[in-house]
Amino acid sequence: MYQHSSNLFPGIFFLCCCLGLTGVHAASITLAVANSTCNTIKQVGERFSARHPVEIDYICKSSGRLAKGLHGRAIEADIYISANRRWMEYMVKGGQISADKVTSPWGNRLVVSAPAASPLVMEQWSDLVGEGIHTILIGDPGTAPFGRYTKQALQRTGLWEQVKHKITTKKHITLLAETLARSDGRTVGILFSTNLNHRLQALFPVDPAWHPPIRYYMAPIDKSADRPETRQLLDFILGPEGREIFGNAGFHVTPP
Amino acid sequence: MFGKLQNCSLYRQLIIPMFGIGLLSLMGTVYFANILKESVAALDEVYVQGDLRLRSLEKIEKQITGYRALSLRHLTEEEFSAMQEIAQELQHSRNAILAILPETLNPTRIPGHPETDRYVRVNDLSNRLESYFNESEAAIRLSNDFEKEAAFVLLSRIESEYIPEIKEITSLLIRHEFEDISESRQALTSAATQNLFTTIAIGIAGGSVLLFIAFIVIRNVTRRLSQLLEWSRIISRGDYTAPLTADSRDEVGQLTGAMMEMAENIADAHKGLHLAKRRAESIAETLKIYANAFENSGEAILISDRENRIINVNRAFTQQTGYRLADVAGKNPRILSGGNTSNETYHEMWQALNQDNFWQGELWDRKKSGEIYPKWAAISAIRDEEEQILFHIASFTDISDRKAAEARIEHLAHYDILTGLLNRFSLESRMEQAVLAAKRDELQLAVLFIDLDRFKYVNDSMGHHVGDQLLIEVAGRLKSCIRESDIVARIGGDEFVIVLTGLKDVDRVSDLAGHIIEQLSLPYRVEDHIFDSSPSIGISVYPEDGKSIDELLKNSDIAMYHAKDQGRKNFQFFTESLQAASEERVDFEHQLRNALELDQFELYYQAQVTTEGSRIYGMEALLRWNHPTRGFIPPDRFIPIAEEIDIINELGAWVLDRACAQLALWKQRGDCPRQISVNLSARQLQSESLIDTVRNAIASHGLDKDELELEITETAAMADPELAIRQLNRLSRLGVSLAIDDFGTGYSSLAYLKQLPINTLKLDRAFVGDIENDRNDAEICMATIALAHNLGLNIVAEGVETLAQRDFLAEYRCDYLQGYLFSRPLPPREVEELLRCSGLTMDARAATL
Repeated sequence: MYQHSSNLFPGIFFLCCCLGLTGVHAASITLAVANSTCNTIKQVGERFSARHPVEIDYICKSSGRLAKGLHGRAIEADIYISANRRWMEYMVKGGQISADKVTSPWGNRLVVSAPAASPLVMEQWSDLVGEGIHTILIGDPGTAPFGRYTKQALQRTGLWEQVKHKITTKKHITLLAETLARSDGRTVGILFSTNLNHRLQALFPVDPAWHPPIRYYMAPIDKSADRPETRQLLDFILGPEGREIFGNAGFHVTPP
Repeated sequence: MFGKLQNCSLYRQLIIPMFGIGLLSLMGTVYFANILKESVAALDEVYVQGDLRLRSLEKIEKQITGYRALSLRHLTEEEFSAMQEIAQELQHSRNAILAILPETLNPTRIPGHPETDRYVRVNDLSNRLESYFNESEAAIRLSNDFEKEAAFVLLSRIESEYIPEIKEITSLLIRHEFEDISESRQALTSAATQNLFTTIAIGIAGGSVLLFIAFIVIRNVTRRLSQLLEWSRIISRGDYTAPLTADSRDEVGQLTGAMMEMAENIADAHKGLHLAKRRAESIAETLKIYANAFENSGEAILISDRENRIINVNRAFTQQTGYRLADVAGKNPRILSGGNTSNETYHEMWQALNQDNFWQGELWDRKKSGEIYPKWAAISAIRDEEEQILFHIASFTDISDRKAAEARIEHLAHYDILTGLLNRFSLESRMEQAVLAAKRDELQLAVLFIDLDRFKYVNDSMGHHVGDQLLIEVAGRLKSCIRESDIVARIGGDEFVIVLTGLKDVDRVSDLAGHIIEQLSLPYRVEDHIFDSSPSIGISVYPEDGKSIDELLKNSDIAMYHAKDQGRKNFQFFTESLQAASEERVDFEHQLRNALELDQFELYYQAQVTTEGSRIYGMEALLRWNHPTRGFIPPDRFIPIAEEIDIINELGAWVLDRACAQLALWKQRGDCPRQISVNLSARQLQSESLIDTVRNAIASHGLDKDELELEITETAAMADPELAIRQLNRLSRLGVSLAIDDFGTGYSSLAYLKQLPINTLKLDRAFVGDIENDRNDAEICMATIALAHNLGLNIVAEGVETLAQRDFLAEYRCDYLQGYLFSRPLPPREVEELLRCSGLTMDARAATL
């Protein structure tokens, strides 16, 4: 969607490096990222910091909470990564992000999961209605995109009203993965496949045709868009190394 | 008409109009006394009904607050089954509110006060509530469908739209209820006064007519007697032909005729005897009429002989007392005595009868049924030519109703309506008598001035109805503590006065004051509330502490304030030193005024850290007064006084300037917190110069605007929301960050909160402190964090002291933490060491060790 280059960039970067040398600290940059990408983006950040004198702070929350925090000035950040289109559009409408700077480099898939030790077996999607499953953990549809996608899939397949009484929501995906890992054998959770870990097992993949495409959206906050560190980090994330790390973590990486 | 009257006997000429007019006056009096009694009953009814409706309105207000809290809980709930339970509770709460609504209507209609307006208002309230419930149900349905975000937005809009209106209508209804009660009371009092005047007017008019008739009759008799006298003189001179006309048949006319006959035919014995016989018949006829008048009179009449033995009573007497003639004939009238009339009254009665042959006054007699009742008695002594008493005639009127009405009016004038204790007016008059008695008998007298601690808090937090019930209970307990001869009064709000009379031993006062504190500190139960209260008592003693009532009351009041200063729930005697203390307060104010110039104030700083990573984010500046002789004086001791003596703005400007200077200094030296927080008092927020002060402090120290955060308490912001919104918007335009301090302790309207341009909420330490043990506190913390995040605000938890509290707050994503777990408030030098040692990161475990 958006690719940029500027001749001013090396000059400004040089100037900032000089100023940085006179101060006590390296330059710092803050990323506000959707929880589902938190671990992966930290790997990218570590590799970037190893080569550049830039200290990176991470704020990992649900996309909606981040968008509202940024909008209400409770959160200050330089780059925002959302797990769906809705909250990125919210920021664009709020005038804090320019539409032409938004990129969508990765996608993801939903999967029904259970604790690693759970004896549950799921042969078809409609098994969710059965008596074997007592509790279904999903993300908060209001603020966590993976919850919104899950609700859309359940509504599309006509199961939403039948399973609603089993549902418990969680504010973000890390919390859901943690809660699910500690749950009993009659509990399942629906989350992004990239957030599975060794304490969880995948039971059933959710058909992507049942919900809109799961895409991540990334953009610099307007006030930081022209900072050399911001642009350098964005380029690194979208570059070969960034894409490789995301690809290895299980994300569907869009070719450049 | 007068011609016809002249044909009646003199006795009838006088007695018939007297009885007729007296009867009319009596009927008028009875009629209007009855109306007065009905007025008093109506007044009672107005108070009782008004009180019931006020209770219903207060109950509705409480239920609505509960309904709102439940709605918010539903929106923060994550489990479907839990949401279903809350939805059921909401339905119950809603039904309960709608069921109470009809109880706020007035079932009786007072003349001149149509209920139309109230019906319109209650209908309006009912419609608003139903709309509010229906629309909030839409938000609950969204929440049920796990659309929490949309549900929050919808509920906020609905609350902003309906809650202020509902509160306004409820307040209006409560205010109008008070006005209605007051108007009804005035109308009924006015009607009662009018009745009294009408009764008096009837009495005066009746008396005037009687006097006029008596004047006409007497003038007529004397004129004719003069003629007869003149004629007698002529006859005595031997002129028997002198003309004389008998122009009437009354006694004078008869006398004239007799004298004419005597003059014309003295020798004619037969004719003379005949005339005598006719005269005897006429008298018999007259007596028969008198007997009828006596028996049929509407007024109770008793006749006794010269030995005061009852010889006759009429029918009205039997109706009034229940006694027939056979029951009382031959007995002394004292058998009717109820024993409540004083001997002086009887003495005065017999003296008047002996001297003037007439007495009237009030007697307390006993009916045959045993009932004692007051009556108005008029007694005449009838004497013969030799001034010997022939008999007594007594007439009686039952005045029970009038006495009851008088007693009720007397009570209202002298007693406090709420508690039934003496009011201030009565206290003063009773104290005057008590002081005179103490002076005469050379005894002492103690005045106990009692004020309830934190009564305003009870009133504000639980409502006036609960406050009133508390006062009634306190009055009851006070009465149980004292002797019959002592005086207890309520002289205003929550102030009571007890006067102990005839004191020989002042030690008894201490024992009693201790006993009163013990009794008044026992728990109170009003409806579903159980709470504690306690008194502070000031004591002055006559004659040592004052010889006048004003002096005694003033000095006990001073002693009471001293008791408050001593930490409440105690009693203090007035001493000379209390006057000195008053002077010391003046001295304290003087020192406070000079403390700035003498550089006695210092700022301490307490760290605020990020929940994730425990990095120092900001510092809150805290003011201390380092007094040369008293040591450190805490702000809650001197800030209220600084506000009272109006130096708070000057002091606040100094704090702002010093805090900004400190941050600038830290910035120069390297590691520094990102933000510095300064507290604003309520009075500062009202100051017009605040904006310039803040702008100057930022500019003169070269701070970035968002490096300064100003904190105001929730109570200060809500004291005058319109002013707070205006001032905070001006501060926000300056670019400074704004925080609401002590959030959760006051009453915050969501609608107002959304209008405030704030960035941060500070969760009060009161909720954080008991997070691990108190489920309610934990839920309040969770809901407040969710609320803050939904409004896009940061949240800082104050008073974090344990790792468990930190972990709980971290789990629910509280943004920042502040408390002894990380650092106590430190002077600037130690803060610098802390910053150097920690490098902006703090390990909570290390800090606690």
